[in-house]
Amino acid sequence: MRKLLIVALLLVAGIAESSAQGHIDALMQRELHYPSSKRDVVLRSAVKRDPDTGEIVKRVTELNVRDDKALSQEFVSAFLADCESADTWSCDDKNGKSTDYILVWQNPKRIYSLKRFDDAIIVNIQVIYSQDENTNPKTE
Amino acid sequence: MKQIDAIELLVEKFLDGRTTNAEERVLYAWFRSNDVPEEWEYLREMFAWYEEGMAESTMQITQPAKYVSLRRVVRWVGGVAAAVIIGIVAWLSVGTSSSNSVYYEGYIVENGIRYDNIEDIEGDIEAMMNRADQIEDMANDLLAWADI
Repeated sequence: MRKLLIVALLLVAGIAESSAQGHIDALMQRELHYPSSKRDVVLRSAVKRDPDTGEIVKRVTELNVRDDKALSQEFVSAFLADCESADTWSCDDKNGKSTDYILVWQNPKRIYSLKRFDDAIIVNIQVIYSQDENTNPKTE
Repeated sequence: MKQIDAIELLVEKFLDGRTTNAEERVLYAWFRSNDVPEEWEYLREMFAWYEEGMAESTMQITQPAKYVSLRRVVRWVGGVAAAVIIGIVAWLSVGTSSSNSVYYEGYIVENGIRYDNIEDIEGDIEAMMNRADQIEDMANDLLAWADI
């Protein structure tokens, strides 16, 4: 019984870890697949490729929400839920007027950012496949 | 070599400004006394004019631009064609590298309407990519600070 409990706990932990960005991804997938014409929402998606090799350098998806308090709050909650599992994160709250979140996971490298201004938000999600020369990796 | 071929060579040499006085006298004499081809009639008039003015005039003679030999035309056309081809190849190579745009698979959905003509949305996508690069820089700073 005790062993079964330990296995169950490990299983739950594993599932939780595998859906590290689960809350944010779920919201983004919903907006990707069910875009609403009623909402003031702009969704952008693009792939950046190395011009020499054609390989994908990064994939970026960005959601811009204006005047939709409910959706904005959903994303803020998702970021708060997912930040605990991030390899590193930062939150910059400027006296409640605007908030910046950055969540970073490694292997694969994923960067999730949220900028909130009142009821408007910009969510930027990028998956980095390779470091290209246009970025500036910090080295010590 | 036929005489007319030799004359044609001399005419070309004259127009290039490389004839000697003796060669020019040969041209004047030939055009004065021979039946010249119809397409060279204007040259007869030209050389007659030169012959009359040669003894007295000290003015520098400007080469008439009217007569152009076929050989020169072919050379000129060939040069222009080569330059055009080089220009096209150079433009295509630049165009090709820019058309392998780094923002290849991009689209925008605004209020339920999808826009995926990359030429129309390129500026918007590029702005998004610039924002992404700035965010990535900030993320790298975070990772460096966290020593990950």
